[in-house]
Amino acid sequence: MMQNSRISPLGLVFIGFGAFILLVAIPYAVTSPSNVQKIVLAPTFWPTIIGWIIIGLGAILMAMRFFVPADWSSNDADAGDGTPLPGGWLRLAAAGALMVALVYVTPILGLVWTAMLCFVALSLLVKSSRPVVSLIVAIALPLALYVFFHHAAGVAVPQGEFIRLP
Amino acid sequence: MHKAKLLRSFSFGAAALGALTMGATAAQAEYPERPVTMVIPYGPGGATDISGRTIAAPLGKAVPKPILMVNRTGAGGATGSVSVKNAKPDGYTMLFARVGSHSVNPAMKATLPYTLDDFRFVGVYEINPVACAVKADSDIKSMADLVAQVQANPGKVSYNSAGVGSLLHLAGAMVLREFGVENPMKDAIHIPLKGGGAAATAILAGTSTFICTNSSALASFVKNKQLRPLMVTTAEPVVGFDAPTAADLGKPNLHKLVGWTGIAGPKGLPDDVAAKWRDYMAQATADQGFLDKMTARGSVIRLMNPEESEAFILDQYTIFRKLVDDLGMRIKG
Amino acid sequence: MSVIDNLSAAWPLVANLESFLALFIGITVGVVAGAIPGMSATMAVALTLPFTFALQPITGILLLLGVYKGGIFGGSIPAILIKTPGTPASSATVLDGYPMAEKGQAGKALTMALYASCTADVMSNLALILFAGWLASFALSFGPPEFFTLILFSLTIIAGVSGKNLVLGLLSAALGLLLATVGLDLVYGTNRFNMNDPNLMGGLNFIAVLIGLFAIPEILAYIWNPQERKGSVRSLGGQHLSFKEYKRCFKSIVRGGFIGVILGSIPGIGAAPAAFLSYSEARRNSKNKENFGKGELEGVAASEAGNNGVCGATLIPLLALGVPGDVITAIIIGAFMIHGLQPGPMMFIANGDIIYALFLGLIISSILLMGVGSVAIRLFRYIADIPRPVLLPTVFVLCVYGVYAVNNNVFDIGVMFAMGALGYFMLRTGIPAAPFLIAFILGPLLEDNFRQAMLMSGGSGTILFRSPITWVFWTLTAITIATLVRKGMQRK
Repeated sequence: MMQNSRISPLGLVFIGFGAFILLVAIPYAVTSPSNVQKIVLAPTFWPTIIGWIIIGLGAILMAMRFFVPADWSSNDADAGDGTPLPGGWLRLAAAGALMVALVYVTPILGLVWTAMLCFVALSLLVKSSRPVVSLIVAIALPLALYVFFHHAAGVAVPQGEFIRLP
Repeated sequence: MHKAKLLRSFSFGAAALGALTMGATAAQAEYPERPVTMVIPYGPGGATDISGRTIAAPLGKAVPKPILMVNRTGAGGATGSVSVKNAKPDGYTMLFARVGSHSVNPAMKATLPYTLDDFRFVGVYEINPVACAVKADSDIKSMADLVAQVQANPGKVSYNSAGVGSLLHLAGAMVLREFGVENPMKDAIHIPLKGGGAAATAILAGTSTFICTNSSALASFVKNKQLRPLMVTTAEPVVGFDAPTAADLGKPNLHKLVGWTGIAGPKGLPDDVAAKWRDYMAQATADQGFLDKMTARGSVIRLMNPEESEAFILDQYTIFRKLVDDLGMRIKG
Repeated sequence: MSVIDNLSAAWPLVANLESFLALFIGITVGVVAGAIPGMSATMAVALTLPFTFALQPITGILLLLGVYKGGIFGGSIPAILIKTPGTPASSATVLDGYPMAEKGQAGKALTMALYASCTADVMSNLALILFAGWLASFALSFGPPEFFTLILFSLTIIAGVSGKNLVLGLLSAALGLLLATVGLDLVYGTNRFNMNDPNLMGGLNFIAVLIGLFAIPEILAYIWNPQERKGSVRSLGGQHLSFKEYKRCFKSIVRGGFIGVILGSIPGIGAAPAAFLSYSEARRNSKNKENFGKGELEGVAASEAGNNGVCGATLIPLLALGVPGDVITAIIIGAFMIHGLQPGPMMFIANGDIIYALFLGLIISSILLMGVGSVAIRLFRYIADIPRPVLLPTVFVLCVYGVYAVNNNVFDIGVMFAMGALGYFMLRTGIPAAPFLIAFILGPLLEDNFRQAMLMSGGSGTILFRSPITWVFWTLTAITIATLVRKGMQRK
């Protein structure tokens, strides 16, 4: 179960986000031509409405803290089983870095080799209890998927600059 | 260990195919030495996709290595076109360029992340006549009726398109202008839909008055007597379309308003690769099965050489650009 | 052409080895994928899509439908055995299926799930065959104003998938709507939130968004706390389900199938709400209410009937209107288009034989599902034995390949990861992901149809009330909202 006290800052976050959309994102990132005659047709019309909706809902979320019993104003969050292992944030950061790396390394190494490396890295990250199985799957799975997608489905799986697969 | 073993077995198979190259600096052997990726910048099932996949069969016989067809959809062909513009100009990434992505879009969009100069065309192979049509139970029977309605009720007649910057968008405005409507942007309403299929269906549902698009997109509706063709933009009549040609109506300028499909590579495509592609395309377009399939869909197969292709596209672009500037249709943001 | 003529023209298209094989493989793949936690039926269908490009249209679409049906049933296996719904649609099955497994009646629960699924499946297919043709002619009276009101009404289902806190659900939906505006403006072609990046001009790829939102947070949650979940697979226990027990649940199954058909034919609702509604109706009408939630066979039957009843019915809006009823049918529409088929009213006229061939294939698929499902129940234990440290990286690599294959773009992999980060944030803060996805899919439709209607009318809002259809949907929307508000008041 989640603590109700976390709802209220969440409301603030959303109000801030809505304000950011209305004040910064829409003026800078949505172009509206000068010849728009009807406001309902302007490219900024929908994003503006959505921005206000987010602000409004954020405000309601904050207000709910005072009017609504705790068990109703929160959803069950998946907290997992038992006490979490320490170092969670570190592992999450590593996983994030891994994902960013995958996107940038794929064009250089090719998807197959990158996927193998990622599989191994993820296995290390969660301290796989079956290292041998993990290694076999890490090598076999990307290759098998390559064969499927490249040869059976005709998808141009990105090939690297170093080792090309047939 | 596993890796080494697997690699060995793989390299054994690969060596047999002669496709394993170690390192990017390996001596350039005869092109092509590995599969060629051909990008279709539009979604599956569209005119470009069908055209590209139809020519892929005879091209596959002409090109010594396999061809991988890749749909990279988005932004009216821009996403796929940019990916080819940014690819290495080694001939292993080629593009199916289309009238929308390579003459209407550059003419209409100031923010387009590419220009015609970013590509080297190896050939245009297909021309699609454009036809205008209305719903079969409409009281508009001819182009004259249509123009009279536009002039009698400015701002009431509407036309469909597959989206901003599509051939359909420009075609509706260009046809009205040629027939004497001074400001088609104001007097007629453009209703964009998402994709050519939706645009044709919306005419049946009565969402708008008329549509100008490739004859192949309308052929089945015309055949089923659900749509009535008003004109075709070619000089020759189009089979199955019982409507006057632009020549009959005395509007020869509209002959330039046609769809086309061609193949292009990035700007720096080497001469020898471009020359090879000319041969491949000559072989592919001579294939009888290909010709039969394409003409059955209402396309005119005509292979232009690279110089002819670029002149043809530039000519169309210039005409479209002038129209866009005259009507203030250019998108600046 | 009459139905009989169409069916006789369609029979040769289905009565061949490829079609049966496609259905069989599809159902098998679907059941296995559905049974793997973290691989939803939607992902399985998305991953199968590229394989259909090279196939005949009917074979390819039957393959996808097989995966769809198999996936929806397959999700119930881990839901019952290890309390982890394999797909969102089988969340309701957990409520009574898992307690039954605890009591050593896993075999009975699984068999009931299979029989209920197949029965509801047949009902759903019959509804499709009997009513889709009628809907097709009706569909042409849908212009932008009608679609706008229909989609507005469909958005009210967000209330049903928001969990306990409606405000968080609505916020999630608002984020989905916002993300859907990224790309080029429909009417003016100008940039919206795309930073002039050509990869963003086409908008965010929805399969990348979907997988990112559901699968990646699951992996991140495991990385956060990499411990083997408790809960091991128990023996299948008493395999047998007596006919008497099936008969006892039959009323709930039929009711569930009916609910599934109704909700499935309304675009944008999907299988999970149908399963929950069916479950709650079964509970309301049951004599032994107290037993629900403690291992009541009827609860399993009702949930599974509800979610499988949706399968065939989601094809009604797909085939009759060209409108995808849910994410899976949106992918299936893609498969139609690859083969140059435009689902919608015209398809009944232009490709009637293909439509009726699909109908026949669907009926055959119900029978095949029965066979494949029975085998799967016996074999599943071995798949469940894959340890999570191996399973989750496997799912990760599958996601990367699958998302790349959709549009052949590495950028989409990045979109998936970014959505994964957002999805994990939502998981941690208790914001439900389902409303986000529903809004992301329906948002562009809502906006586009609104603006097209405004173009048609020259900016006058009265066009949104132009026909009886619009009035019907306005009324339905009003009633739904009023009911929600009244319920909210009562709870206070």
